Amino acid sequence: MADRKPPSATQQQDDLGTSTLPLPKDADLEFVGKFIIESRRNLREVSIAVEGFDDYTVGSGALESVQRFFHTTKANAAALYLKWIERLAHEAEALLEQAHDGEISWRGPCAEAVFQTLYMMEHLLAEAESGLSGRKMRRPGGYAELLQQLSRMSGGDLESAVPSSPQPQAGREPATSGVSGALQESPSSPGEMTRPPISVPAEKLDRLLEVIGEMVTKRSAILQNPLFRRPENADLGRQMSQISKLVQESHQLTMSLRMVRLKRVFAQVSRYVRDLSVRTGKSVVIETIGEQIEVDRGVADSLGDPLLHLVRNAVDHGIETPEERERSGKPLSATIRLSAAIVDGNIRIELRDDGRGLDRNRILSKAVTSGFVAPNALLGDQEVLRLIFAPGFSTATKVTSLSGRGVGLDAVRRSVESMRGRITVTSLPGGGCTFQLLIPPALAVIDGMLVRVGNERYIVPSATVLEVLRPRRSDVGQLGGKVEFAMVRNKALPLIPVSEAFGAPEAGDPLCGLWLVTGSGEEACVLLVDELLDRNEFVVKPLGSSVGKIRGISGTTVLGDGTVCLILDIGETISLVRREGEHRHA
Amino acid sequence: MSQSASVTTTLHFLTFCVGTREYAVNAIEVDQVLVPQPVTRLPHTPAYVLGVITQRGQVMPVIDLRRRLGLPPAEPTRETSMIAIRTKGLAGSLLVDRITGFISVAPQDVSFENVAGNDSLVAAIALPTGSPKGVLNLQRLMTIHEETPRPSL
Repeated sequence: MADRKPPSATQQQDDLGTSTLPLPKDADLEFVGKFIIESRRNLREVSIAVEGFDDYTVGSGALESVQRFFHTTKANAAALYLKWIERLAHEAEALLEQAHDGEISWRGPCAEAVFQTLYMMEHLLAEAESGLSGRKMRRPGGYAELLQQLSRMSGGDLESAVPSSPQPQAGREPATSGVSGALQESPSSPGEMTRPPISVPAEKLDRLLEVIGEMVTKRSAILQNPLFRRPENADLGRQMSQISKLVQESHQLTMSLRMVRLKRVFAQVSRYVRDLSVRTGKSVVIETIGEQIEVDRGVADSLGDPLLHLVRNAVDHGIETPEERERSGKPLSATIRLSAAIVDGNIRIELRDDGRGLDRNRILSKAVTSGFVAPNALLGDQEVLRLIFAPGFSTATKVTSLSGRGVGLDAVRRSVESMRGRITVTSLPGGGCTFQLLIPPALAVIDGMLVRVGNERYIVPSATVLEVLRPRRSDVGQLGGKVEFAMVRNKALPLIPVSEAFGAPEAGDPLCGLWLVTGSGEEACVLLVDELLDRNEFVVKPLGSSVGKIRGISGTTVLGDGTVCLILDIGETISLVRREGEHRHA
Repeated sequence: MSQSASVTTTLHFLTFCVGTREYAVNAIEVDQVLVPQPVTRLPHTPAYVLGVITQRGQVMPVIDLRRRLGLPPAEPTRETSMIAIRTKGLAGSLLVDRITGFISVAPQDVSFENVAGNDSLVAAIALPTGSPKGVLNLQRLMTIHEETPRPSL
């Protein structure tokens, strides 16, 4: 911790001395644009959070949120070669970390410097934006001074810090405009400018899709009206079917507005891995699988940050140097595998590296010394690994410009949770580790089976069902007079009556119903339902803001007759019935 | 709720009966009054949550106000109605015994006071004329949690 210092003075010289810079040639304009939009939004939020900075008490989370902002901004700016922003964020983060650790007081000069940094960020983002339209980016007045001041302050020198005038920038303002007078227009003509993406509030798109989804449902109801089949109504029928086609088309169009391929996220990650590989001198190959999968735009947008964080960690900490790899008999080149799949209606993203894996003992001892767990605590492997997601936890022994400040995995967990997702990690010591993100599709169409259970109807995601069977008497296994398991191809599988999970009235006889075989291997079991009514595509709707999460239910859909039907979360449904069973036996 | 004088906008309330008492909701928060419609039961929720319906493409819960306010459930009559509410990001529908009307009141004629012992679901609204009516705290009333929350890991 003590030897934390900005990388070196020489590094500062390279392009921080120049007062104008073009946007790097290989910068991806789309990502820079996205970065600017996102950073502005975050900057607004953070500025609100620090407004009460003088009343800040440790633990309120305000300081952490600013720290996270700088950390994320640093990482993203680094990936996009926005050096000025990266550098400023790095310094500010270093300062805040000391304030966080209580090594320096965050009050007064420190808080003031943070305000100035946020203010400077705004300018830098504006410059990056003008860089987007082909102009050179100008270094805002006072930038170098602020940078030096931040690094002096993290060095513990608070006295010489800020001239306490509230607007220290004011005097330098003319200099800035002087530069802007000498502003060089790049030769590219305005015609070549990329059209900036339009940012539409997601709620509006959602509402549009809801309304059109409703039209689709109503349309099916109308089309089934026998009136249209009468010969005298042939004209009306034709017109109706034309309208119906238009409705269908607008539905697809609206859906497509929100659906994007994962490719653009994966491409961003791949590019970043290549860049990291160059910078760290570690040879890393990235493989991507499933980038053609389409996900909701909101999900795709929110996935970028956590994935970038994870690959940065993997390359920086997980993957060994070529020499180390050679010693342990591994291929010199490390492989990171990024894969996506739709599992049980959820998007499953896996990031696997073949590095050294997580060191259970090191995590545990670090957790003990940092006071995360009691010295004598008995923790399972999974519990120990989960510690890496705790706020402020880091096992990194040195800080690099890439990572090691311990806000990373906490930030990753938070962003995954904000997508209502889950993140888990598994590790093979010496063999690498795998992060798994399970994210519900914010909005999607699922292929589902409409089933009857008692007098209620539910939808089972088709993807979870391997087989539909009509049982024979000999297929039922009994334990103590009660039907407990189902024989499928000579294997005894647990029999799960769906009615038990939801207290549905009039549970059916295991022999009169249908069996849906789900899961494989250890996880395999048989769901008991009464009848299969339909198999179709259903538009998934959320349960609504007034209702929290309901166990066993992943969402709803509206059926052709206008009633709401619940979509089952098969994993949760099974564990609900199992728990019931345990209670009974206990 | 402050009675800062200069504001003279009239307040509008939809009034209705639940059991023997009369209640009111601010008309701004009312989306539509519906004829009761088939409800899909929502498992693992308290008994006062009858289930969910769809209203203008949105899925929303239906709350039986009788049970929510601690009264025994009643057979639906011709007068039973659903009031679809949309407020501050919450959407839901209230099942009430009977719609009684619509009142307009000058803000200075209204005074709110909390009715103790009612879990602050209701605040009383005293009117210069007529009997006092209960104004519902919709935020509290409509936020639904699972009956037995799963222990967090």
